[in-house]
Amino acid sequence: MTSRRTRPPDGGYGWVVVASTFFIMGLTAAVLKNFGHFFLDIQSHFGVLTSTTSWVTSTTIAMFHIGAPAASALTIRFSQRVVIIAGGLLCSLGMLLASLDLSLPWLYLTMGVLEGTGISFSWVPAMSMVNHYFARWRPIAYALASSGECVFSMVFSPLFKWLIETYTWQGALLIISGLQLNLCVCGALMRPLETTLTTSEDDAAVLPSKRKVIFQCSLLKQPELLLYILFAIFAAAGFFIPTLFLVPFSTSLGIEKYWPAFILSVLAVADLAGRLFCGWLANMRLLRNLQLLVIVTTLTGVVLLLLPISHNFWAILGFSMLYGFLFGCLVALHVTSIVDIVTLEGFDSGLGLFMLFRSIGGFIGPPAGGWLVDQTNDYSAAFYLSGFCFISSAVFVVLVDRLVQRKKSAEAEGQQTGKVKRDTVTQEPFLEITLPD
Amino acid sequence: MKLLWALTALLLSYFRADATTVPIIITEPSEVSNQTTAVLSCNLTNPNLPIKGSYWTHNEKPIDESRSDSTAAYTVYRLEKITYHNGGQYKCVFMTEPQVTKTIEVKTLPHVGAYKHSEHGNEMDKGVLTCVAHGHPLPTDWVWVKEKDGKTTPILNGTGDRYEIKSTPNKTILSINELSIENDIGDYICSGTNELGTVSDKIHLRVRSRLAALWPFLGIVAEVIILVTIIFIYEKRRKPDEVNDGSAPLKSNSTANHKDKNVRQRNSN
Repeated sequence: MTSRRTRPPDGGYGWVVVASTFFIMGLTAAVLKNFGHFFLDIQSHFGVLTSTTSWVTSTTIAMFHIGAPAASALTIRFSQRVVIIAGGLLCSLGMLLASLDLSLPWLYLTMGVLEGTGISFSWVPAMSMVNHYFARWRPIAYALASSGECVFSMVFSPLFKWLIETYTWQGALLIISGLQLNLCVCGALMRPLETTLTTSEDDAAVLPSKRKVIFQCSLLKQPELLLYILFAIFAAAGFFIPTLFLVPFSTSLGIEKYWPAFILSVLAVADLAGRLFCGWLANMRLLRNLQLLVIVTTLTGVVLLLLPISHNFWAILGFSMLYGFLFGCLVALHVTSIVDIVTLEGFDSGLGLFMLFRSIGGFIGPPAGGWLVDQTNDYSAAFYLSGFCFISSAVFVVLVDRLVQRKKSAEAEGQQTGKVKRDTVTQEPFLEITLPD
Repeated sequence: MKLLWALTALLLSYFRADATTVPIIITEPSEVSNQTTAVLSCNLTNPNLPIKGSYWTHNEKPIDESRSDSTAAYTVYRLEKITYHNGGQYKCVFMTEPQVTKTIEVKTLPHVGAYKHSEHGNEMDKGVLTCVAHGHPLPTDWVWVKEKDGKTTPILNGTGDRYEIKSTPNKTILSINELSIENDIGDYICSGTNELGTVSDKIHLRVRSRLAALWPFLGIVAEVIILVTIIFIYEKRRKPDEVNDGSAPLKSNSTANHKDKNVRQRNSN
């Protein structure tokens, strides 16, 4: 039986990988977050409704999630470097073709499908790379890398506005296409890890026919991953609702002009602070990642349930800051926790499945929130729903944690019998078979 | 003759009876025009019905602070600072059965403002400049003038087939077709005139070239190509004998990994 294992260097070139992922997150997720700046111009150019224009963003996000398992499979088959470079080329091509401005369906195809797939092909392998390069420092490395999304989002917001004003929205898309071509540079930096092999001769009859597993769909059979995916669905449903309804809610309380937009900016800054803080906290290993995740998720739900009681600007600002901070913590934890559940080898496939199913929550959440608000004529309903989603997702994490702990103790017993060994650095178990010489 | 007098007396008394049933409001002043402050007053002469109170309305909307329960036949409303905001039709209302009202018009210069003071248009596309007016009375005349290098040229509807002006009392829109960078960049002044005078505002028009974005784009592409080449050359130089990424060596016979790792390896030598 031949197994291919990569050894996390935990430093050294790993920090170059972190820097590269920082840029990749910025050039993908932050661009996606700032699509909204194009809405008005595209809407007036084609003469359509806002809802029709927002389908562009929906298509992009949909392709991002649907492409995730494909990106995982390709990463396993080829390497992260190849897939990220391919993703960069796709993104750049998508924006370039979109700038040609042929028709609205053309925009769906280019800015939606091509761009979304490209973002998926760049983002997923980058996540994979950071988690493979680090073990001990994984939480901090991941937190640092994901903070790229926040920083770039803050920079891109005024930049996109200025680009659209100076160069028209078609020209702005062309320049953003060039910017996204830099994803190829980031991909080029993703040096693959050297793999060491442990070979042991088993029965001579067993030939190593499939050395590499393309995609571990069998991971779905594990109850821990299934429950974690349920957590992902509920959390995703809760994710998108607050940012959508925060501005209308504050306007309904009488806060006017640019103060609601200021609340969103404060939320973004708190998000960044939360990611970095939680990465550092998780690194200290005072609690297990999953335990920390339970605490953070529950707190987020509680904060959201309390948010509607605010009656003035400062109360909303305070709650938004708290929510932003906790949201950042959640983001810092929820991907690295996958490693605790499916181990590093299954991580790529697990991440792909995680992203794919998460999209269900992302699709159901905002419309459900909108429907509730329409029924009750009160924006608080959306926040109650969001808080409820988060608290239910926390319940799933508790269950996952229990199951993982049970599995670990079963392995510990196996260790005592000598069959299962634990890698001293990554704490990942591997099966050792020794044959007499 | 006596019959004629009797008839006249009858008619007069009839009219006088009529006169006593219709109350007359005397307004002071009857109209406010081009003043910074004013005191509006209404005096209800010969009230024959009980007055429960009075209030004022501005453009048909009641003014809450002017409500009064006094049964006096006299009411006053002060306008401290008259701007285009508070110009319009002021009505004093006496709460009798039925109500009696009289209107005083407060006229000001209009406020003329541009939607955006800096407008952008795309080359060969259509450029739209808009000015709106507020106040009472609204402008009756709108004039667009183009200013370039100190020279002003009036623009009329249909000048040179490219200009189109659509005006209503509260809004005027100037559309320029097929914008060109040489001819159309500059300042445009809209002037609105009402019976008190003229107020203007200026808009600066910028025309963007379609291909302007091409140069930064090509610059960035060049930068990407250079960086990627540098990285790959560096990688090749670092390990000239390294196997391509993706395929790992079947058997590892290096002993370098034994130092700090718990790897069990079988060497095939």
